[in-house]
Amino acid sequence: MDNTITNRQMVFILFLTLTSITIITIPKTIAEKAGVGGWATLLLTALMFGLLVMVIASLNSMYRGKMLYDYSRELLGKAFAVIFAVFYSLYFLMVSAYLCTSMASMLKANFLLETPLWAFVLVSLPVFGYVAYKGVTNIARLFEFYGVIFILAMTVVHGVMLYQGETDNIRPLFVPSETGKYLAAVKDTIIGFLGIEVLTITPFSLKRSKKAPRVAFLTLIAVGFAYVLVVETSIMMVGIHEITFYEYPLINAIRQIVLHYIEFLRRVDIVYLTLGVMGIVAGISMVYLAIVEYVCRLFPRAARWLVVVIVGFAIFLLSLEGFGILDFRHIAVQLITYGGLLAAGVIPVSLWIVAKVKRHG
Amino acid sequence: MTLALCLSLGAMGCWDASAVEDKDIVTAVVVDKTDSGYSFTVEIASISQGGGSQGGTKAPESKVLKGEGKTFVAARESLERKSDKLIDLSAVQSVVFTENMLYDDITQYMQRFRHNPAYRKTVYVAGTRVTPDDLMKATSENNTLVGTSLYQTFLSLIKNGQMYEMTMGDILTSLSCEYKGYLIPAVDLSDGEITLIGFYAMEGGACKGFVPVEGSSGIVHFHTKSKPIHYSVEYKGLEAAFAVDMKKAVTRGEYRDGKVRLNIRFSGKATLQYLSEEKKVTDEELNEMGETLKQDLRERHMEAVKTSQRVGVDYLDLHEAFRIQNPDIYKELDWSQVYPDAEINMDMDVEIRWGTIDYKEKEGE
Amino acid sequence: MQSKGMEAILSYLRSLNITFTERTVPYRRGEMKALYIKQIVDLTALPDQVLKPVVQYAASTGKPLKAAQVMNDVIYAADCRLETDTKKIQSHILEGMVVLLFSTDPQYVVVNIKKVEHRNVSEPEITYTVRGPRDCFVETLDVNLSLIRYRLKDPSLRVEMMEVGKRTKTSVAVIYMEDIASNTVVTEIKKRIGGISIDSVWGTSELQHFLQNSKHNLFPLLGTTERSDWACESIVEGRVVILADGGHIALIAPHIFAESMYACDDRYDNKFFGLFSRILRYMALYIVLCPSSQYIAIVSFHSYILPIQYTVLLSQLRQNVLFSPLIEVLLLELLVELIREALMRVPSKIGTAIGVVGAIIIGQAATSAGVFSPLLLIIVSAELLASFAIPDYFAVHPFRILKFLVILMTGSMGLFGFILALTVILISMFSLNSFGVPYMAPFAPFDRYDYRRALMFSRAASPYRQQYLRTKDGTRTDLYHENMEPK
Repeated sequence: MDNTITNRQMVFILFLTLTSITIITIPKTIAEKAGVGGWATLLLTALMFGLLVMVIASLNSMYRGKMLYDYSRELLGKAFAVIFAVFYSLYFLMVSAYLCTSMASMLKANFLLETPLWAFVLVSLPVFGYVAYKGVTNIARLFEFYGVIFILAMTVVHGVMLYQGETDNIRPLFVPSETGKYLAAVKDTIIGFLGIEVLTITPFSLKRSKKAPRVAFLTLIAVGFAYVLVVETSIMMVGIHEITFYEYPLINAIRQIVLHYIEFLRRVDIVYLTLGVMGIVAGISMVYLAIVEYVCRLFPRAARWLVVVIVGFAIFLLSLEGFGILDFRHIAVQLITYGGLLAAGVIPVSLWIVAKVKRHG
Repeated sequence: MTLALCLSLGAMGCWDASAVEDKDIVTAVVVDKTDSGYSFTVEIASISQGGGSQGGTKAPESKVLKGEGKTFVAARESLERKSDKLIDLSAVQSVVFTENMLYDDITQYMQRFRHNPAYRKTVYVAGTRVTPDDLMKATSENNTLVGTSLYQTFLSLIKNGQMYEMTMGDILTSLSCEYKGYLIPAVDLSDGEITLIGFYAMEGGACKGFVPVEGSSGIVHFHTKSKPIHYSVEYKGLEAAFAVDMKKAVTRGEYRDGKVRLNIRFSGKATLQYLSEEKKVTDEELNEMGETLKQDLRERHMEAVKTSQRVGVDYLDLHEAFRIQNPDIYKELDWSQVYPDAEINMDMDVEIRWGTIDYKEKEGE
Repeated sequence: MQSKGMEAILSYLRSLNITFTERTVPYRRGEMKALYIKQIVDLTALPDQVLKPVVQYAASTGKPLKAAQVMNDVIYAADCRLETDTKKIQSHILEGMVVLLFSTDPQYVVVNIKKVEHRNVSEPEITYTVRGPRDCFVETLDVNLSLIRYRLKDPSLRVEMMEVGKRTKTSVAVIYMEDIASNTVVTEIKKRIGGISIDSVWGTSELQHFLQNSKHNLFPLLGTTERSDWACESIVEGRVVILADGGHIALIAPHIFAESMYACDDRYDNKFFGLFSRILRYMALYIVLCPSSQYIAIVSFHSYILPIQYTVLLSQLRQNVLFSPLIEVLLLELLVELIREALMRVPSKIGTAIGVVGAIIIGQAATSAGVFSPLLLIIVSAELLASFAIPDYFAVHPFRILKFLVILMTGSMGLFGFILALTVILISMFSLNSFGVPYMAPFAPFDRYDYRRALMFSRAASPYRQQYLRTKDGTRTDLYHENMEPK
């Protein structure tokens, strides 16, 4: 069994990793920073990251069966490969701590009010570690399965919100005088599209990998539209001003759904707690796997299970620190945004240029 | 996997685990402003002892608890001291504000409501002149929970087209907007039954006026496409009943000469249901009846707008249409000042149709 | 062999205390010894087919007898062969053969007139079918092979015999279609069987443990069947079937999870009804695994999901229950598993009594005593029924164990714990493979044709074999039929 992924699996990996936690918080970000025309901001950011993901996918299809560490070693030498591996490991560690703390805070704030934050991380990290231990191919299969369920559930729930929501809340769709605001909001939506850098650890399979860059680009556009759907329907349900009061506006928007004819399900946000959390679990597992893959490349003799355990401890400790810092999530978002631009943008683009130059002499 | 199991066992402090029978299930909350502060009167569904092995098929009884305090926090603490179990607000179906509370300010309570994840945002809300104790006592004689009774009443009114959905979540949405105008249904007890008597016109968190139910027909069509409503018109000694199916009003707003001008257009279909006499009518006569109906509808809906202008609260959400069409101008205006003087034009485009009963006079008859 | 050689062999054999029977037939200038164990030889056929002809021939001819001559011209037995290796005589006798030693010939004849008491071919007990054939495998390998041979008359059918178990020397047959089955799978299976080094193997059920990828695996990576038609279908699909002496279950490799949801009747019924049945089975699997943990989640953590009247009803039902929901569920699940085990082992005469006792204990008495709530009884009963709706009885076993993991994790963190447990189960399943075939194919990795076939099978509309098997010949027909859908 080779450690590669198919195009279909790549689609679901991108979708679930990108939307993991951000999908809950992005309506607030858009409402605050961009207003009713935020859909334009999202699509613009999706387009930008679509181009970046094409670069990463193009590199992966040029060096089939290899991850970034392997082909950067070929292109730039071992020293650069090690520097990249260390950078990506630390970057993904930060991301995983951010995701774990966000997940714990979201669950505590909305569903399990009395459970301490560290308990969420303590119980879920072994699960994420177990998933990461199984490797790229198996986690890709999990994404294939979870992705279908997540997208179906999302379509149904947001379809209902589209029907029950108030269209006046999202109008006017575009105010020309606020175009500057929409453009300025792009920097705040970058965090929603970071996650494409997980493709640096997912070697592509030999079959149809030439189509991978196009598929990746279209996936990012689809993610952009998914965000637009989520943001617009949330605003339709809750109102653009009200939404700014909530840390996790999507859940509050889902709570506004009334299904009179489904008598046994009064609280539709439970659907999010089950099916939506699948997306979060998958996303965090993927980031965990990314750390493990890079660390295993740095220490090839270390047993994989040991690496998984050590990484788990590192994430746990960082998360505990994060709970203690008041503005941790805000600080983390800033760091991840800058780090992400490097991880998803600067490094892959540089490697791509070098690869193209080497290929064409 | 073993580790996950051990850790989950270890984490089984089960902080959030609390069996449903160990909770007091609250079905209705009445919030009152008293002389000494605030009070919460809650209706709690009682779990009768005999229902265990046979399953509960009879209607549950209820008990009423009251907590008072200088602040909401103190009132809640007082309530918790009286309860022998954990108070669970997740089953609340209706929240009722007394008139005192509405005329004071409900904003702080709504802030409490917003932060509480257990509360469903889709809880129906009402206002009442009746004291909380009377409200709870009267309906329990019929062995129905007050919360359920209120909920069912509102549900049937919405289905009949006499009311549109107004939940606590909608109030929060209105409160967070730049302009905050909305209606809260007013209920009273009539022969022990909860009855809609009108609406409280709210601006922000305080009540600005009262709209009786007789003068409130037409309000629904400003908010939503409603179920068909029946109207009857007088025509040459004949009473004709029509079922009117109206779409949601379409409003065009503009700002001209320092004044807001709103053109409201209603469209829909009116179907002849029956006539008061055994008589056949022609197409022309039907159209004339239709014109009378349109005039009548126009008057009713204009009356609804005029009432809102008189009260000074735009609870018809006309500001939304203006905001959508003139976002830049809207930002500069203070809607609460300009609305009462706004110029309103109304078009009624109602298609008149024959119904299923054949009243049409055939040629040659 | 010379008489001295024969005597030496006989002395050696006697010294082993095998308790075999010697029958001497003298002839001119020599004698023939027939060696056999009488308990496993057909004592009617022995004199008729072997001894009597030899005696008559020896009396009529004046020449010394030769083994080849006797085998070809004298004895009437259908299955016999010439051997020269004297070291194998012992194992031939122990296998139930009759060994004919000749004092005037170094060669000897091995005659197969084995007669072992065995069950008749009977109806299936585990996988009953309404419309399909009902002949099932028995414990005798030869009978089982006959059931396959009469269905598959293809010249490329291969039956390779192997032997496992140092003491039991159990015969194992590896059966496949040479021009369909993947060479990799066949080679791997033969390698694993050949690599078994153990003293005893009693049938295929034990053999299964040696053929799995990992010794610590919960999920069955080899399929099992007691039905000969199912085994033949698997062979034609490109799988390898393994049969062994002493076992009435055939092993099928590779095996995927979706195949546990196939029932024989799906092939014979209308394809839409087959689809409906398969969907029902997946729902049954969900019911086996999830409802009791969701009961805990709703009662303990998320009671706000339900409408008010159901919440009040739930409180009423639980009013007299002594235990917390988690303990209540664990106790009842353990009790039901206990009853299930007891019903399997109990002698038939007191089976009814156990059923009545179980119903009384768990039913009225436990509810009245406040041990369990009625709702939970309904849920657990539904789980029990659902477990019988899944055609592959052995496929349910992992989920009966994993259910407890799900219950415990839900008990600690509500629906979040439920999702974590589900993730652990799913990733474990996704990471398995059966002889190179992903266990969760065709769901992941996804294949559209295989996915459609996994849900809805129709012989007329399935021109290709399942793609995940990577067979040599992927097409089942070379004729175009109007109902066939091209890939």
